[in-house]
Amino acid sequence: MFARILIALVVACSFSAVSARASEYPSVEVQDAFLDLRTGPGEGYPKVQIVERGDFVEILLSKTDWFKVRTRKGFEGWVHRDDMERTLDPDGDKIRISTVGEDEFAHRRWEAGVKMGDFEGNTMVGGLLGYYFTQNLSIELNASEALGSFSDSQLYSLSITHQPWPQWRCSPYFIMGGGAIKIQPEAKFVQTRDRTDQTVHAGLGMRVYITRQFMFRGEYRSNVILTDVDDNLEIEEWTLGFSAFF
Amino acid sequence: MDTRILRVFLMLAAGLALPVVPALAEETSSVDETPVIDPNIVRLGLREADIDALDVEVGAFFGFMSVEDFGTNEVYGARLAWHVTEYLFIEGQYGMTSVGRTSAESLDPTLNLLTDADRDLVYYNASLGFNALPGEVFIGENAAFNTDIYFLLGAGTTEFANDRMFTINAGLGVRFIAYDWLAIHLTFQDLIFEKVAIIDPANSGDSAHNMQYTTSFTVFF
Repeated sequence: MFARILIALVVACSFSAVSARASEYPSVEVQDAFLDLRTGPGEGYPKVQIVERGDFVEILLSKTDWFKVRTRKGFEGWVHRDDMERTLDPDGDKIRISTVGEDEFAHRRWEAGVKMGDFEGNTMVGGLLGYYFTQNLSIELNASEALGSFSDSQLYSLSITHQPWPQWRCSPYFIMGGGAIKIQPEAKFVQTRDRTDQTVHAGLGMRVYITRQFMFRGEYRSNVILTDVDDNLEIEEWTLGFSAFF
Repeated sequence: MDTRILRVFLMLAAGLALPVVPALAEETSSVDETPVIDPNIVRLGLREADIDALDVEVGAFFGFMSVEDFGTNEVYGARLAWHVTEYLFIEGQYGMTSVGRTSAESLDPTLNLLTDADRDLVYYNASLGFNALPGEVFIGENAAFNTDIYFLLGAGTTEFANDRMFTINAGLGVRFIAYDWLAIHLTFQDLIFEKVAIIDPANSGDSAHNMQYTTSFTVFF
């Protein structure tokens, strides 16, 4: 019985060893005169090895714009994306590595980000998640809190944004929507209860493409808090933030 | 017995299916005899999905945080970073500590400025990180590790003393890349938030600088 388990284990181990060896890394052929290998994934790291034209390297992994490769002799080093694109795949075709750039910025689907700013004298921090139906139109969910000396508020809102020029690197947009605000007065100053009110807002902003999947955004919003009392409260909101898109 | 029935059944099925296949083949191949693409060529290609991209870093940290007026205490938390380029990363942090007693409370043991629950401090923030100074450290003759000295700047919220406070966070850190998938950080951060009003009512609007130094273990994936 034990012998059988032992054999089964040995067989299982040998199988996994085989499959590990079988799952080879993709390998590419150097087409330039030579390929520089660096000690680290950055342009400051020294070049320590070259691979000549016609030699193959295996691609082990990538970090940002850098690929870790292994030569036939087992030497490992880092190659930049631009150099990697001057190698050939096993079919002899130039390898093509997709980079995220301005074109993808114009055709993004999802956006997630954080922002901070001013909410009528209170400091605001928050996050957002957006989905683009078309290049121009998106729906956006915001959750933020405004922290002040007298009260803290939590805001949740759903907005529609419209950007007329999605292909611009600095792309302005209009935003409008509605939501809810929960205001919690600080107990030490005023003895009132928390209250939740509905809000509507409209505003405009700017998305600025920086690099890869990354952008800055600035926004102005005019919020109207629909209170029970006769006068509605109008609150100006200025925020700055950054987002990633997918 | 069962296998024989199965065999007969399969033979029948095969017999039924076979006449259909040539009929179909005849229909489709009647236009063009030579196929445009030779199906025997196996295209190996290079699929980007086969390359493991290690751009996300997640881990835990522990260390010490000095909260103004409340002494220095252990802090621990989690961090999640996404590396956009070799220079730029985005990081989110969540940390917690439990502060001690102020010097006034130590002098007068009957004085309790905060309840025990209010002494718990929790913060979270989002930061931009800049890998400013990449480098290498050498351990002995045969081992070299890549490092990064990075700056952090961000904002978030701190929950402390029955209050929520806006918090600016600025820091400097060193990341040792032990393996491609594992890094060890030493990070110094200044978390700047409003002074606790009870301690110093006259200057309650002023900001307190709360220094934190931590060690993190993070995994890339």
